[in-house]
Amino acid sequence: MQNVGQTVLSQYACSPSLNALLEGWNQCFDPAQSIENWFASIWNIETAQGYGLDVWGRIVGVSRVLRMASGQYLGFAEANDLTEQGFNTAPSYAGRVVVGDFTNCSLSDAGFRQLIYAKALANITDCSVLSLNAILRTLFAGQGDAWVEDNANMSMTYAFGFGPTDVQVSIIENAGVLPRPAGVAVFYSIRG
Amino acid sequence: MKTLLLDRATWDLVVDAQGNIAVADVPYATAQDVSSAVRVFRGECWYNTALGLPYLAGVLGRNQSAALFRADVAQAALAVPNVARATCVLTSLGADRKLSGQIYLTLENGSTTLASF
Repeated sequence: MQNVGQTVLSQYACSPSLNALLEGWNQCFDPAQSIENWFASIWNIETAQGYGLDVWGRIVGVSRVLRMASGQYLGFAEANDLTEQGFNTAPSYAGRVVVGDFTNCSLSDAGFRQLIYAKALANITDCSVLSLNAILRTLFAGQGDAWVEDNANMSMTYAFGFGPTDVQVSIIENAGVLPRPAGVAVFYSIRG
Repeated sequence: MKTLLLDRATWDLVVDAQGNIAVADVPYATAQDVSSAVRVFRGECWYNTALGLPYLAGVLGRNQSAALFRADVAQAALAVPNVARATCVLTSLGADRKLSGQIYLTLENGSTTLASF
């Protein structure tokens, strides 16, 4: 209770032992610390951890565990995803996804928080270039340039000025965080 | 019915010879309960604001009829369990502006007791 004295009748207001007992009980039962902890580790997304972030992930619709394609295939710069490699460094694409190529990757709290922010932005985005760029800035803050290009033919390109890690590739391609305006084809490209 | 014994001067809990919180027994318990009931300001009890005397609204700092005050006190005393009849007698209004008096109580078993204020 914030002010236990207010609940004591005035005839007992000057009773030292009675008030001491009530004060002591009040301190024993005081839930303020628990509420504080709960707020910090679950409710407040900036400080949430573990389970709290999982709850936030369910709210915005993104999962901490990513299905990550670790396979890289022979490809060219025109290929529309981020898994292509040059000659002599990767096998040809078999035409289907090999089961062993996928691993499940659990994001750290910091990475997951970033993903939740990005998904939350994506949920309310108007899919303008401006807001897509804002999502990219949130997701890849401090890593390098990332931007959206309008190819002016009902397609767009997510361009990255740095080499994304495997985890980031799966965020980009699988997590459903980077939105796609209706009727628009999406390509990905790395501009080194 | 037992009640927690209160020190008459500080109106506080006291301990008995064994160090436990002391309790009072009938008939003193009833007299003390009446005393407690009469001291409640109306609206002060959080879960039943109808209890108590209208000290702030009608008694303190106002012209007040002594007969009305006595009736109010008797009414509050009758609300205490085990009290069959209550009569309030005002004895004096001292130079320190302190009103004193007594409440004569008849309990339901026929015995009488006295609460002073």
